[in-house]
Amino acid sequence: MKKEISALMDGEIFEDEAESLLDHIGRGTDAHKDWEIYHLIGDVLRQPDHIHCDLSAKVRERMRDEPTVLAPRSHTARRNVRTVALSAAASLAAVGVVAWMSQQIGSETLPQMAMQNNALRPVSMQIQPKSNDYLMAHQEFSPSTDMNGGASYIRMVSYGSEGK
Amino acid sequence: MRLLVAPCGKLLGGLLLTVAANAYAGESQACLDWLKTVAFAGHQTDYSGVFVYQYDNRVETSRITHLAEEDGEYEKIESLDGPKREIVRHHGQVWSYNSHKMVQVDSHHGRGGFPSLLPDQLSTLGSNYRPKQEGTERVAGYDTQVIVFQPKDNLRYTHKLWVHTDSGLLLKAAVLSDKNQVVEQYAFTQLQIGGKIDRSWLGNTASSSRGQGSSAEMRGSDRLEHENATNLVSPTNSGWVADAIPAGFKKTMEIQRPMHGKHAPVTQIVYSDGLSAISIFIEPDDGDEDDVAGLSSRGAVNLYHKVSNNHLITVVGEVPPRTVMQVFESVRFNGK
Amino acid sequence: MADREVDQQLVERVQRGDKHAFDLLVSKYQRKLGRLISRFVKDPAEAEDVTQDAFIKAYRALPGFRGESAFYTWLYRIGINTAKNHLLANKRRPPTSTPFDSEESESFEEASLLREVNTPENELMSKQVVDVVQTSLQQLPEDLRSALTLREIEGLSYEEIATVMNCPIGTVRSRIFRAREAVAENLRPLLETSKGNRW
Repeated sequence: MKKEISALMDGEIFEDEAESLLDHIGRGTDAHKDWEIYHLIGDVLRQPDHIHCDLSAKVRERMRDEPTVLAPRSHTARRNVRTVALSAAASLAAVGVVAWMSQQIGSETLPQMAMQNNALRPVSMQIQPKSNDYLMAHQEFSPSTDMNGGASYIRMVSYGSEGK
Repeated sequence: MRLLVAPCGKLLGGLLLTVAANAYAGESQACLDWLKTVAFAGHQTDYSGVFVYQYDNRVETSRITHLAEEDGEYEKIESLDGPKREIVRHHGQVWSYNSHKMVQVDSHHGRGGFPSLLPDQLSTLGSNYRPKQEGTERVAGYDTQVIVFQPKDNLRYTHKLWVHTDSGLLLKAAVLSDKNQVVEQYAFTQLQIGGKIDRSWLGNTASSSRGQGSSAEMRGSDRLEHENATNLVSPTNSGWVADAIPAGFKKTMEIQRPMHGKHAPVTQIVYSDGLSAISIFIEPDDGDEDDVAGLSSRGAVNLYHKVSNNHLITVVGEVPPRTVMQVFESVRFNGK
Repeated sequence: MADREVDQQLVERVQRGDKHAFDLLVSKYQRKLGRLISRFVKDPAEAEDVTQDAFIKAYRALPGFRGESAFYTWLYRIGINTAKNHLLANKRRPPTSTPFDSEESESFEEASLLREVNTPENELMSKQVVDVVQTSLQQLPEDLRSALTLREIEGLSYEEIATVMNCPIGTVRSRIFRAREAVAENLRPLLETSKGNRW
């Protein structure tokens, strides 16, 4: 069932298949553990600055005391989960989704942040010093160099002095 | 009476649309003008400052000094934290501090000065990005105009620039993903524009471009390598094509060039959309065990390479991983 | 994206009386919600309690959730409110600057501040988990690693990945699964031992 759990968590199976699969992911089953561990992996990849926690058991315990919630069944048309994923992909590819930025980047920089880890990407995915030369050769012709001046070369500097 | 109202309504609607379109076009043009100013100012201005560069899990604080001299531009970047690292650029050449001296690491094969934004690259910018002005902010004590280039597709990143309204210098820049995550960011914390700036380091670079004797700092063998390198770079029609280059990217370069550590010249094809570039490197596979195959990244730069049909193909660019991979998959030989 | 549809499906199951479906949502979002709450509540043990509280609150409020926003957006708001109320109840002020407009990402600055929130033993565990995942990732064959990266980090759908990697969707599904399972194999022993110990 692992294969199906993997596809399910990505929303890449049909709704009725998903329903029957969910019927089988019972408490404490291997399927449940797979769901948990696959999600953990994704979280670590997205957040190498990972803070480990395992709340599920504790929350479950507390929920034992909770009355079962029920909501009136809404008559939404049965969705085809996969179709939604496919059409979303089509529109993204053709037109592009524009999300206006609300992100506020800190207005002043923080020199004291130097030497602290602000991981955004797993180290294993970093460009290796071996590939530095491609980076430098590319940098010559990149508009980013034109805009930032040599500042972009600082990337080169940190690796360039190692292993050369 | 009704006859009068209908065309009026249509006319007003049409007018409003035109006004909106003009306003949009006006804002778009304003942003493009700022971009031109940034490029120009970066080359023409003497400045020295401290900046913080954040990418992946690194935060680097460095000092950058830029001088526009009679014989061209000089630029020095030195790290202010960690081990001593320094880079000097002049006349298409790059030196790096290594083992207590400056060693040449790259050559721009004789192209005078740095590449500048070509007018036609800028013209396509508007078709692939939505430029927008987003008010003013203070950076390093200076007033800046914030401009944002939001891509129309998800094959490229968002670029946000903070431009000093007086000098036109780029004081802060960020590259963002379509999920609004900051992929990399660079910002000045202190900056001196013009005025007295230390020039004593200018003598430390090779003087071959000045036509003077060799500088004590540059080793003889490096000079030779440099001269050979200049001779070996040539524009070419390699016969290689990439079908899946995203819209708006124009081919700006197709050359055959030597590369450090390579036994044979490498083909490099460069495409640019005005804000980002993609390079494709093609070289014969020399059978070296390739333990870096696949996808890797550094800040906004993504790199994908793999052996394909006896050739080692590498795609590098300031574009998302999906784009470098897509381009890679579409590279093929179309020549004789 | 597509996994929001899964959330919606899980929510509807909970609303029909399936408590276990809520477990699956907790498993999925516990770390994300935990990080969010840790920005408000500095003490790790306290933050964990508040995170649990937030989940229970969400469970109770679920009948009123109608899917107008994404489930995590809704959960995110409950998380913030729970955290703020907790601080106020303990006579502490919530941080004045709340740069949490985007529930999707943290700034560089926030990410570094969060490292303070780990307990020593948890920090070791966290580090071990990260090491195992990164090493496993590195050892994966390139196509598996790329597929997993495009899915988990770039958030592409299977169809988009198929376009990028120029292969059938079935191959994408298989690569992602095999990548996950390969990493999971290495992780399971680590998690089992930790479960045996204290928690």
